Amino acid sequence: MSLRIEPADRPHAIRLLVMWVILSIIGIIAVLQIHYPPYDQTIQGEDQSKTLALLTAMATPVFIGVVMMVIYSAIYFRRATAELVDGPPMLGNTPVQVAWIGISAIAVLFLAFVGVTTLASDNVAKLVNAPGRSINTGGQTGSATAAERGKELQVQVVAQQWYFTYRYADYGGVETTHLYLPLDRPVELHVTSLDIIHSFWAYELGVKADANPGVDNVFHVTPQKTGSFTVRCAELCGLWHGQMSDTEGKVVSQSDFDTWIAQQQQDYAVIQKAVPSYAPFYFPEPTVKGS
Amino acid sequence: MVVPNALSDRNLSFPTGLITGIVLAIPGYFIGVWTGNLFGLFDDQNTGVILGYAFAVIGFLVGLGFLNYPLARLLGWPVTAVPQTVEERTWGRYFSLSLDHKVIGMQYLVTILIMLLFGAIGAMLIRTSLLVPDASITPPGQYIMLIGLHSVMMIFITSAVILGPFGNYLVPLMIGARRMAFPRLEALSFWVVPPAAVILAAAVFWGGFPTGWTGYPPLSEQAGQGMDSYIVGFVLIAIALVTSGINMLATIIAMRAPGMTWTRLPMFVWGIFATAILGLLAAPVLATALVQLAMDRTTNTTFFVAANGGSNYLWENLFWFFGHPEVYIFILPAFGIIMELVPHFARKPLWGYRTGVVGLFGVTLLSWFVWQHHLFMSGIAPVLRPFYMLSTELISIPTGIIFLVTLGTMWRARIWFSVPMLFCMGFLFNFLIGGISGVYLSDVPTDVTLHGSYFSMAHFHYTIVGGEIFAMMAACYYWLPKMTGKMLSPLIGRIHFWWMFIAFNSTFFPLFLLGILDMPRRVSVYAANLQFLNDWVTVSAYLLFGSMLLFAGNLVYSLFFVPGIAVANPWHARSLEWQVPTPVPAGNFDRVPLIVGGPYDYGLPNAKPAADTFFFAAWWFSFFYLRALNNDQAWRPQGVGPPSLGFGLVVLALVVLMAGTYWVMSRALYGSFSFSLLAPVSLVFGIAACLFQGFGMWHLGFGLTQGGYASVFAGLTGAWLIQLLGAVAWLATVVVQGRPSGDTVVRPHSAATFGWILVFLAAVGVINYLLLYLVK
Repeated sequence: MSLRIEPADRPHAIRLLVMWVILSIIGIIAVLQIHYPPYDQTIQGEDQSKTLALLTAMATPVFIGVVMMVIYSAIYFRRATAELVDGPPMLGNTPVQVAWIGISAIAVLFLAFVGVTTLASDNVAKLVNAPGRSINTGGQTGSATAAERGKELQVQVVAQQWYFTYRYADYGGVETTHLYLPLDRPVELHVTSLDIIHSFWAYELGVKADANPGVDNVFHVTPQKTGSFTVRCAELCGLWHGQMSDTEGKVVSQSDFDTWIAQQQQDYAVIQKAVPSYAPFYFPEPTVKGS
Repeated sequence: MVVPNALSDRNLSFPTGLITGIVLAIPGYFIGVWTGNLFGLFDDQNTGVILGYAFAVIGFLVGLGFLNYPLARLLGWPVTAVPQTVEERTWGRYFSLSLDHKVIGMQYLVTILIMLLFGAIGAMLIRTSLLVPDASITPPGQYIMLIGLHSVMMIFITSAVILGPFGNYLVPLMIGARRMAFPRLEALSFWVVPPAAVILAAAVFWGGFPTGWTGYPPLSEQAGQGMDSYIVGFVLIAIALVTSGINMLATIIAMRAPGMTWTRLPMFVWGIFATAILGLLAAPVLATALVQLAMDRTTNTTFFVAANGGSNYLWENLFWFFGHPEVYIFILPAFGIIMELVPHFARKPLWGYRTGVVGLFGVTLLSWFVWQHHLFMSGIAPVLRPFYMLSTELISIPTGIIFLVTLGTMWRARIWFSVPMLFCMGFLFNFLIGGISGVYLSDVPTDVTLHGSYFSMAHFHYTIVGGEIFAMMAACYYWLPKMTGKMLSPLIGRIHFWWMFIAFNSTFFPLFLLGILDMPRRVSVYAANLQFLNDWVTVSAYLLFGSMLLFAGNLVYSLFFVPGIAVANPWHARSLEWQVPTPVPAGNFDRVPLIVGGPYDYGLPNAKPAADTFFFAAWWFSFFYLRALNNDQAWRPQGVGPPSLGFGLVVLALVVLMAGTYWVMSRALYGSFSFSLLAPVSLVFGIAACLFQGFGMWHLGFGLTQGGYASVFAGLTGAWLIQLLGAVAWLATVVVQGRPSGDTVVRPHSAATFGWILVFLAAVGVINYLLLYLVK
């Protein structure tokens, strides 16, 4: 089984190959100039941006190749005469087919490999290793204490029609209306719902997690840049689904976070007494069914 | 007595037809509503509405004449043996229960196009609402109603847009058959579609339903009575998919003309074959999930209520186990069309026929292993995500084969740039973008941002509209000259193509950007900085709608203003369907040998148990899933359990005896064993089993809200009992008409088939009781 190119095929094949290589290189360089979301506010988000760039770079030659073939066929393999003529009876070419399937299989397996490794590394607590901000060694560069930095901050996201609230397990389960996260500290998000399915989507953080009643859905995220972020609901949840958003999420320094959370504990002290104690999920009564 | 050339079955005492159907549907609705309100457990009317729809559909089908044949069989009246061998050319046949596959194909086409108009108007209203970033044009309640109606209407359409019109019309012509294997089943697969559309539209009177097409509980349990339209409509579509699936498989396997070997089968028929497998096996799983949802809403079971031993994950799994094969039900016939048409216009043989078939079946096989990629962010089994990522990305290999085969066919060809060929090339471009964007969604790290955003919306519109609808347009321009006898205007066709192609890409490509820029699906308000892109999309969508109107205009122009009949083979194609004259004669072919003795029975084909296995398998899956997911107390609280073991054994024994006696009898039919003696015995066993089972279900001793076990118990035994009742009813007809006289209408073939079904039901019963009594 050897690849044999007929003389009639050769000019077309060479022309297409040269054009494909040139256009693909230009295309890949072009798409790599784009700044892909969800950008770099968190380590996980940065990995996702890189994966998005990689996928686009790999998709470019595929897209260019097929579109080029279609346009090329339309130009060069168009019937020139008025009356019908039959083309050459080619029934197939095993080496070409094997090569096509083999190349697409390799590309797919490579993509799956990259996806799985990224997923595996993002799905656990991740520590910031940026220069000058290393917290693995217990150095004094960050504002958090060494004990705090080693431990994940546990934040519960509670969804209900039609807003999100947040409970900080390490701060007496205080429930807040906005999400604040400290810089450089791994966060463990526990997403749950009180009524129906919602989806917690913090765009800039690179987090999307469905909120299911009776389920504790865990996601890990490590902020590495201060700034604000947007929270939206990404699963149709009824009448005000579109309005279920909050643009006041913030990543702040550890000291700002400490000030903020103390203020929250003080502000919500009265309400806190009526809120059920912190648990993986909650079943409010009564369960509403039917209209 | 079998009358070979009768036009229709002998009627009941009243005339049957479309008008009678509509007339009977109305009292059916009210009887259902009253019955439901009589027995309904709550005051919210859900039971009444569901039963009302169901009875209305039954009344409609009876009025149409679907009961004529079984009743005639039961009463020994003359019945039609082989329909459509006599010329009948009236407009009336399009408005009545016809058994001619060509009439059914045209009925399907017109119905689907009308539904498409409504679905597209829904899309236009949605886009109009999105002209402004706030909800000032459409209030949120109306907006999500539009979302629900547009999506479900379009899903109904796209399930059938190629399979229904072109599958029914062309498959017999392409394989050299005079008709489909089961013409009555074929008619049923069409006549449940208009009621499904009407019932769906009726949701408007209840304020629609808020869930979109996925119907996720608990939102769908919170929803009002509009949700019942969703349930009943989708059940009807599931019935259409199963019946046409059985029919297509049986026709393609059994009714090919001599010499139409598997390697000579047209690619379109291969595409339909693969689609039929998916429809037959996937739709019953949807039916199970819908029955569970209906039970939750009416009888207060707790399949999807997390607080009471259920889980919304159960719905998500069952729905997508149907839902992902469903999207290949959309696209596989389109693949078939592309690979069918390109060789005709490239004037070359298909490049790599076998590889193309392997590609189709590779997609078919893999589509069963990818459903959880819709659930990457749901929190279901996160450890399985790498598997679903890989299996999903693997699908791009067989899909790539479709491209390879098509591009290879165009290589050094003499391409005839007709309108259908333009649409094929448009398909290649659009579906390429749709496919590549699918890879982005299959990759979990990138899916975090893209899932549930406008990106995924753009992705599936590229595959369905850019893929399936473009292929359907190619099919219209290609085959309508044969089906209607009128050539669509190529000039308008060319304008239509370029208009639609540009408007389509201008509408849906910006949606990828909107998704990447943080716009979730199904929202009535969005960030103000996205208004320009949204307005651009809306204007493009209007233009896209305009291109569809141009197509409609072309259709009307060709039908009513072009004189004469198109030539029999305008494309000079070599395939079989073009070798028959236009209009196609009633029996399709003059000289193809008539295939006799096939089972043209009304239901009960050999393929049925395969579908039913998936129906019960979904229930068994629900059993284990809820059992594993919940702790013991939530699954089966203290005091909840099956009725006594002895009781269950009695029911089982009766069913086994029923099946056993019938089995002996059906085998003996070929010998000299007394037929009439054993049938009543079997019937008595069956009736006793039903009575015992019904009694047991009436005296459960526990409420249906008491945990997941109670829900599964009620659903599983209930579904089984209903099928048992059906079997007993059929058996009763056998007993009544089974006199071994000269004109007996029970043929050994269907009797033996029915024996298999009884054995199957008994086996299902054994498994049910093993689960409910021993595994618990």
